[in-house]
Formats: sequence, C-alpha cells, structure tokens
Amino acid sequence: MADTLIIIPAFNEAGNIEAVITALGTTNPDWDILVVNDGSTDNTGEVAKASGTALVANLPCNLGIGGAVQTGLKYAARHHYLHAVKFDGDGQHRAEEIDSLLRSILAGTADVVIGSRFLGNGEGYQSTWIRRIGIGLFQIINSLLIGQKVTDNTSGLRAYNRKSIEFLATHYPSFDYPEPEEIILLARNNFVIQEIPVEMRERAQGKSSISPLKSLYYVVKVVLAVLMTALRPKINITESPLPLTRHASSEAGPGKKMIGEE
Amino acid sequence: MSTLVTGLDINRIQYVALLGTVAFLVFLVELIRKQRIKEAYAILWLLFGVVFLGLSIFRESLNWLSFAFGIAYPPAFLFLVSIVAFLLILIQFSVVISSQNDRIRELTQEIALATMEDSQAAGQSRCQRDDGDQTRHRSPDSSQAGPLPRES
Repeated sequence: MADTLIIIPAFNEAGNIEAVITALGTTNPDWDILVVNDGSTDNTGEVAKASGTALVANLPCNLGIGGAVQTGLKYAARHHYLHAVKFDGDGQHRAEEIDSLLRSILAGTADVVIGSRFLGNGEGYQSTWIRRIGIGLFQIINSLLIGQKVTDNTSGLRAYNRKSIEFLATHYPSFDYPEPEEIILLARNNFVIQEIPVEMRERAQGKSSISPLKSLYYVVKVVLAVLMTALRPKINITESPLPLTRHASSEAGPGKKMIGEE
Repeated sequence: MSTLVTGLDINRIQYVALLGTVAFLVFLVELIRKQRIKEAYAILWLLFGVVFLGLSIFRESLNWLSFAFGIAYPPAFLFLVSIVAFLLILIQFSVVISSQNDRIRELTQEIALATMEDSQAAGQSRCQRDDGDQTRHRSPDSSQAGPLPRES
C-alpha cells in the first residue's frame, strides 16, 4: 500500500515531467505520485496524465510554488498519507535520494528532512555563484533565527512526516519562494528539521522560473518573510483543525490508510 | 461679510470647498447605494469626507487646529490630513488584497483537488467497480488509461 505521496509541483515542465515520473516509478513503484500542475501554459498536465502512473491536479491559475506544494500537502493530509516528499518537476532531484530522506522520517528522528546540496563532498550541481550568495545570506539569517545550521535553505527536496503534513497543509507559508520561510515556520513551531547530503543535477530542459531580474525581489521578499515569521507567535496546532472535504469525511477514519494493501 | 480684496472674494474658497466636499460625499454615497463599494471599505472614505466637510463649514477651525499642531501655515494642515487619509486607505487596500489573495489560493487549490477527485471517482465507478476501494490512491485517469499495471 502507499504510505508515501511524492508531490511534484510543476509549472511549464512538459519537457521534463515524463522523465521525472518514470524515474520515480522505477525507483519505487509503491509511491503514489501527485503532479500539481501550477497553471502551466504548456501541456505539462496532459503529459503527466499520459504517464498513467501519476495523479494530476490542475490548478486553474498559477499560484506559485508554495500554492502548488500546499495543494499536494492538503491532498496528503486528507488521504491519510504517512509521509510526503516534495520533489521538483524539472529533473534536478534524483529519485534514488528519496529513500535516504525517508529513512530519518521512518526512524522518527526528524519531522522534516531536507536534501542539501552543500553538505557532504560538494559534488553535483551547486547553483550559480550569484544564487549562492543569496543562499549564503539565507543560511546566516536562518541559523541566527532558529539556532540550527541549515545549509540549503532553498532546497526543494524535502520529506515530511504525518505531523508536518497536517501542519503545513493548513499553515504553508506563502505562495512564492516559500522554502526558507518554511524552515523558520517549522522550527518556530518545534518541528525537528534534519538535513542530509544529496546531489542535484542542473535542470534538464527549459528555464528556471527564477529569472535574474526576479532575484532581488526574491532575496528582499524572503528576508522580510523570514523575519516576520520569526516575530509571529507559535501556532497553536489544536486551534486549527484540517478542513475536511466531502471525500475525506466519507472515508473510514483512522484505519483508512490500510486501504489499497496489495 | 464678503469683502473684496483686490477683486478676490475671500469667501469664494469656502463655497468651492463646500461644493466640492458635498459633491464628493454624494458621489460616495451613490456608489455605496448602488453597491459598487462595500460599506466596510467605504468607512474610511466617508470619515475623511465628513472631516473635510466640517473643515469647509467651520473654516476658522483650520486655524485653531494648525495652531494646536504647531503648523505655521494652516493650508499645510489640509495637506497633512489628506495624506494621512490616503495612507490609511491605501494600507486598507493592501490588507484587503492580501486577504483576497489567500482566498483565491484556497479556492484554486480546492477546485484542482475536487476536479481531480471527481474524475478519479468517475473513472473508478465506470471501470473498476469490482476492485472496490483498493484503487483509491491509484488510477488518476483510469477511464482513459485503463487499470494500472500496479494491481497485483
């Protein structure tokens, strides 16, 4: 049965998405895969659907990566998945790394596991130098704010346990560039964050959604959001129950995740 | 007591101000009445409209008020009030835009999930009824793709 949902936010990734889905299916056919097509203007949605092994949620308009990821987390929360992995649709993440991320989740030593490019021996794609300046800045700010060194704050490769799925389904920070903010929010709310070294590739095809022109906005927005998140009080988790859909409410309850056992 | 100072009626400004403020308030009330502006978002506009109406009627009050605020040139007080009004209203806009943003995000997500789950459910009832619940997590589009190879 599937305990694990792989969430792939995808905006105009028609050229990459099929290979990403195939790689995931080959690595572990027991994962459920959800592609959240973030209002792509190309045929990302159709290509993903044609793979036959992925669920595809088509957002009617572009929400930004945060909105897309949150859609996947809501789905995971409502359908009682025990773990979720966020995996980029551009081919820069490696499906083989997912198991090592999940290992810490399964061991119960962390609520969220981040795949870091900068831990370990520094192999693989390390981003452009200008981006690494920004990444260095986030590293300093985040480390100061949460008292834990997180080396790769912008990494999109992350694994979540049930507790963090439920929390983020409701409180996912923002619609654009949410990664560093997400770390602060989680740490501020006492979630245990762990990083493990991973290798990444340069995106296979197409262009990154972050153009150089947007980089300044990115840095300013993220720094502001991170500082504000740190200033907010801790969220009382019991006060914000998950909204149930008609689908979830008609389901069998806690034993439900046994469904689909093979 | 209109006195002519080099041909200028010094009360003329008061008439103009009164006329302008009343026209502004009438326009505003009309927009609210026709439900082009929600009452909640009209409160700040109305408030400052009334403030300006008061200042137009009691024009001496502008002198006292600017004196009280330590402003030497009374008309500058008018600019101050206007700028504060605009700032507050613009901030209110930002608040409203942000909350709309959240709602649109919420709705967009729900539409995407509901559409996906409906097509899943439709596919299931047509092709996989005998599988019961087992394929709930699978077969995003079984109506087109047929049963997935993962059923063992």
